[in-house]
Amino acid sequence: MKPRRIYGTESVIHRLSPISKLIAVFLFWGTAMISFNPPLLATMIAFALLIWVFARMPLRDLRPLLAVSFSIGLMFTIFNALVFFNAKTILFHLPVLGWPVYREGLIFGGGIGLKIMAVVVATPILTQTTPMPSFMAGLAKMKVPYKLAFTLGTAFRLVPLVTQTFKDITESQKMRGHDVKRMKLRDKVMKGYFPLFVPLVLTLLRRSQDLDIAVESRAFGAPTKRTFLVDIGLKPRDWVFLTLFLVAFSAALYIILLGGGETIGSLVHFQ
Amino acid sequence: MLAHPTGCLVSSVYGFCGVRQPRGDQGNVRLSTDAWRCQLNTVHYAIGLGSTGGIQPRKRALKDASTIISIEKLVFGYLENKPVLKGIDLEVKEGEYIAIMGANGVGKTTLCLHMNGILPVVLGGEFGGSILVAGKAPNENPVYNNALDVGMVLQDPDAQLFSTTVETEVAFAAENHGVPRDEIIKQIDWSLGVVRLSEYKDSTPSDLSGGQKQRLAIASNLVIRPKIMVLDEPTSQLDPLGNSEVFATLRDLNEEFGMTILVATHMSDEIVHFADRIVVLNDGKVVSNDFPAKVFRHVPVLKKAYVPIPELAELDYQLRELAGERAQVYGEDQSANTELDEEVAAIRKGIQEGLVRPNRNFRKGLGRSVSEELVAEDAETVLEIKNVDFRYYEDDPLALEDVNLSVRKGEVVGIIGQNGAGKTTLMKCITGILTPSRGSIRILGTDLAQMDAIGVAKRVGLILQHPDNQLFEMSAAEEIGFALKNLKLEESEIQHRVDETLKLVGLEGERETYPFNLGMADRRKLAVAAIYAMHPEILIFDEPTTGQDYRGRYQLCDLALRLHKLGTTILMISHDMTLIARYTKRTVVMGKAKILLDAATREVFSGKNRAILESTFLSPPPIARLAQSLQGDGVPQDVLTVEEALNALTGEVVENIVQVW
Repeated sequence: MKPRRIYGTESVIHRLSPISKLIAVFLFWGTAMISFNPPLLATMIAFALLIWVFARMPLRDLRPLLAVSFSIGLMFTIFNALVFFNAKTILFHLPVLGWPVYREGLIFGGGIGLKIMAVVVATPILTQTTPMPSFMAGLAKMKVPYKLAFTLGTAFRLVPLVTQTFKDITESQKMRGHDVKRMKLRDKVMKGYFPLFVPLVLTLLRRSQDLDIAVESRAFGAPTKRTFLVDIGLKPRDWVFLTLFLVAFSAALYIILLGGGETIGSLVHFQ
Repeated sequence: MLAHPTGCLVSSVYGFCGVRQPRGDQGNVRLSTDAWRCQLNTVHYAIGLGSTGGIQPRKRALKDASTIISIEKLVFGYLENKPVLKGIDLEVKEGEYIAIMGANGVGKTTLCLHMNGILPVVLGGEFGGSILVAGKAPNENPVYNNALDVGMVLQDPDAQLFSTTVETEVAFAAENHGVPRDEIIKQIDWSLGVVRLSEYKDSTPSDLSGGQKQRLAIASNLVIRPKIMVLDEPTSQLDPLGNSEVFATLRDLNEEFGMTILVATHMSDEIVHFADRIVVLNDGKVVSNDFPAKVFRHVPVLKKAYVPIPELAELDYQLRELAGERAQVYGEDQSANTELDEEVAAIRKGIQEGLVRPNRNFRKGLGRSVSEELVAEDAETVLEIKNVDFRYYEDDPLALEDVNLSVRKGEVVGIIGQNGAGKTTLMKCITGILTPSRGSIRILGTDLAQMDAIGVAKRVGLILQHPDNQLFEMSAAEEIGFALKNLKLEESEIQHRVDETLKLVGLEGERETYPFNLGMADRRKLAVAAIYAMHPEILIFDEPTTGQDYRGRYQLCDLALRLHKLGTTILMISHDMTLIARYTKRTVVMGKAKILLDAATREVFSGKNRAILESTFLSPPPIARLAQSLQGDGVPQDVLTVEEALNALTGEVVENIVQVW
């Protein structure tokens, strides 16, 4: 897979301050977390997809995200449809096994799936339109300790490093007649991937130590008021964006509160 | 500035009287530099090489400079009672350019990391003695304080860059120090200007070449204008162009801005042109500390410390050795000749005065580990590459373009070219790791596309640059047995091959050792053994000498030759022209995804192909360039090794000056 890039000024979303984007994404995540309302969650996903288009982010990048979140959502849906704890309405019985499939479980599982999908689809809007230094500066501006923000940013950096190291090791195994791709699933895990753990960890530790030395040598953690090269101040476009977003968020909150504590959305009611 | 003729005369008088010439103090670099060059002339006359002629001193005067680094009896160990540094004493003047050399594991990195307090403050360890850097004891200060005075650049270009753009990478240190934004912008412009990366300000660091990445690492430290720049083997993973870029940048920092430079390196041929002093470490102590030309005069000491010796210095030493008593009467305070133009001038003068008589029928092959004859054309073709194209991603330019190559059984083929020329990509195509987008590869007559991983592994082995990604078992024996089990050999055969291979690479005593407990050189040997145990027909070494000291460098090449003598065809990718000249029969030059030249190694490095080599920023080994520079003086042109040069200049026969096992 080709390394992912961030281009700073491609769209209005790119040009927004990281603070605006962080506020928006945190609120989005929060709404998705507290809501069990499938129509609301579906609307939020549609809204996130609209921003993808605005941000000119390649839609092909959506495919793996949708595939992963859909698979997880499907598992939740099937599981809950069969064993939902307070279910009342039986839709039908599974052939052969005869297990009942409950309406409430199906909706609850589907709701969880939609939550996951909403979070997964919204996250790249932040990470793919915000260069890491801006992201970290934004977090710092929001009073997140810089060390924590830097650690988070560095964790993102480790992803391609792990991928590359993993690739190097599997290639060298292949050169010794050990082709993991052609193995059966059990062998893939036991003989293919499991033995990679030690060299992978050792390589990453070595790399991490180098990184540690590099950042320490450049005065990381100095007890001064840190300054930032990137200008993350809020501009008029940020205020417009935040106003629109807060209106949408308030509407979502109203819908959630309207549903009451005893409901999962407007469709399923607990006794 | 030219050396004063009177100085040379005085020097000669001292020499003839057998008295050591008085030297200035350590800080008086320029005076002493001129002096050693004059002495050199004396010695050259003595052995019949004549004067070195005009001299261009590189350095500004440092005689009044104050001490910026002072180390006394420094002892350090990562583990209790296991010191790596065993009493280092070192003084560095402000504005000096110091190279630290020595074997792998001798403590170069450890010493470097003491300069800004990473050791012992961050990584811990047993510390003793005293160290003062820019007036502060780094071991008693937080690293962020030391960072104001000392910049640090590490070996691996990728491990120390973490930002998404060049500009933000450079800004990091200044931001941490709370420098105002406007000032940061100014300092970024200045720093990138100094390292000549201004046009890459908005680029992604991962898109830069190795040399550019290391220059970026330098700029990232430079932004807060430290007084000292410490670099730990900054060029060991770079190609010749990257090397030149980094060393030129350091020279600029030193000469233009008076920055003190401390660089740990194995790159003798390069550093000899830049450093004021070379500090040689052996067994945790300083065993030599002097001007490059003086240090490289003491070849046996350097060989004992596994320091690579520049070819010209080696030739100079061997010439003195051959001169015997005549050279000895001038005492020990003599300097080696390490600059090409000086050696050319000296030899030319010797020829003019009839003291050097070029041996036009010089004996070829001296010092070379392979025979001169190319493999017969009717020998079996083990590798046939036809019209191969490859690109990594759809929208990328071709990484290989219409590559055609045929290798016969028993050949030792060198493959040279800058990083990004396509060498490793080609090797990965040959081993089936990558699939060409066009063309065919046949190994022993079978199409590679028809083979599975085991089929390829039986026929071709690739030994990668970094051994650590190739080792994943719990013991050396298991590491070698891994491939043999994949080949589904009988257990008795597996054990037999494990023992045989361990012995072959000299690791028979490490059978049960955990691979990562071995030293770097031994891990490389184990990586070779793990591949060789499959008895492949073709063995490919990808940059076998990266980051290796003198011993490791030659041991691995000797090992390749040993396997060659057992019938294996060898392909060797290297940036080290001296090794290519010494160990290969045939050389393929790659550049811009294509094969630019494919001929006998002697022909590739001959003067007629210089333009092709230069088009891809390569040049023949220094000894070959020396001979080419003396073309008009009757010196044979196709000299490849120091041993051949000795024979060409004196008629003496020296079989092999490299003794590493």
